Amino acid sequence: MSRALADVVAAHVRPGRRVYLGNFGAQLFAVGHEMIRQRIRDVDVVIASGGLLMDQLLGAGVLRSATYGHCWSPVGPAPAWNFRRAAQDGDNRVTLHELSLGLLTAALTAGAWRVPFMPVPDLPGTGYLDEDWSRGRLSRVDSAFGAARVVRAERPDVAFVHVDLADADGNGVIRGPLGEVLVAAQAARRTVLVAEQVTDAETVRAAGISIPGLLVDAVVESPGAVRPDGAVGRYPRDVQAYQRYARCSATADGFRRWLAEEVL
Amino acid sequence: MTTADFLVRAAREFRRGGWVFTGFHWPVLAGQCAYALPGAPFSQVFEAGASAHRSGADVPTSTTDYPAFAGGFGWLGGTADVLLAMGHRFDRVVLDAGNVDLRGRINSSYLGPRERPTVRLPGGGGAADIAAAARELVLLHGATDPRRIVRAVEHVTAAPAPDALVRLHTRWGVVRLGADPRLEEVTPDGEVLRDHLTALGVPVDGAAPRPPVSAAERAAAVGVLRRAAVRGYSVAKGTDRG
Repeated sequence: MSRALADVVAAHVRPGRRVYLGNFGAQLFAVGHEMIRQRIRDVDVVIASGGLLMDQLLGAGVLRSATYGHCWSPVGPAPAWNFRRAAQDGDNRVTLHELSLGLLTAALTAGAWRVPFMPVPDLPGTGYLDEDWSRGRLSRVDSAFGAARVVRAERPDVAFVHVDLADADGNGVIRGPLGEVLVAAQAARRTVLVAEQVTDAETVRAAGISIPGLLVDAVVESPGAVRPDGAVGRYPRDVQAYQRYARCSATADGFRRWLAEEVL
Repeated sequence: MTTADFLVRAAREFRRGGWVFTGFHWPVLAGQCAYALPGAPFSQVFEAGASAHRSGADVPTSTTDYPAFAGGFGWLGGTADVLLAMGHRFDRVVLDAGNVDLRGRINSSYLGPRERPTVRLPGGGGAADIAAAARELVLLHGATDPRRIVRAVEHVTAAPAPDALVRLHTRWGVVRLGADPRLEEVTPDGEVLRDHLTALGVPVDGAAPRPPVSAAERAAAVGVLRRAAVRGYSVAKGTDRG
């Protein structure tokens, strides 16, 4: 089951595919950068905590659409400059479906349960409803049990999930909050674990399995996969790298230079 | 009011005890400061699905800076647990409010003039879910310009429930928000806030003087702010994510 990251990305990420990228707070920059290096285009990304990874995918021209909860740098906090430039310039080549994190998780839950939508708490008075930020992902249903706001099911073609440990059977260990990754793995047609370390089954079981191998189609060992984010017990969030990106990407030329030096 | 004093007063909200949902930026710093203050025990809960019960080894750069908590997590779960299933149970929800209106509605980012943001970006995350569920919402407005408190924000990211208790901490005092907004507490140098609220039609008479900050409390806050400065925080100008 264990394969090289470049091979797995080439096998699972194609134009027109819906690709979930985890994790919440430990973003899989290694996967996103591989998508950029392979010059894949027209991807529909699902990414709850968009952050700088979504910004980089936007700037590199990888995306056709993005379903996301937010897109800004958690360090500072600071702008995600590619996102901001696109908004300022009225550039709508990438279709943006913004959902609150709760609604996005509910959409993935509906996908996991194989139902077309999920009832959710209403968010009256917000732009999610008043300005249709989700672009058609929210509706309202009446039933014998009452009326409810609903969110359309989200079912990615592939989910990339970061884990600390994984075994050869695809069982994975996450050493922090799960965010929406478990339900994303349940919703996706295929799931790839990107592990800091692949080890034996006993070690994984002893640590506590977060993602069961039942859900997993491939495992990739990729130490440092979420840098410049941190991995619990392994490496800290790289604040200087975040700040360097914020400086470099403040202009389009600066972003292109950063991309050439750091990714390509 | 100094930034340290603002932080102490925000941190006291945590030290009222109980389960406190902690949002990005100022709430993270206030939560870290609170561990050094006297008061009731409290537990923090973060939107990705975690509780924490002691200060981090480093000041976390955000609520998602998990390595900085260095084993300080207690309960671990997921986003839906916190935002959808438990939001109404928290004793308090503490959120950053860079741009806020008299009803307690937030626009967490903006583009354009601060008094009238013209484009809303780039996403509110879980603020909408948790604000709508909160029984008591504490908003932290760390900006140095009260004009970011407006009559009505455009492009609303998060809106509290009509029956929620909503209080806004600023550098100059505390404002009760909602259907009947009013100035509740004010600092001796709070004229700028009084004037701004008066211009918005908010009653300011009868506001209590803000309780003083002790030297020990201030030292704790200064310590957090010094550590935060090397962790990438920009705390002087407030929160601009857009």
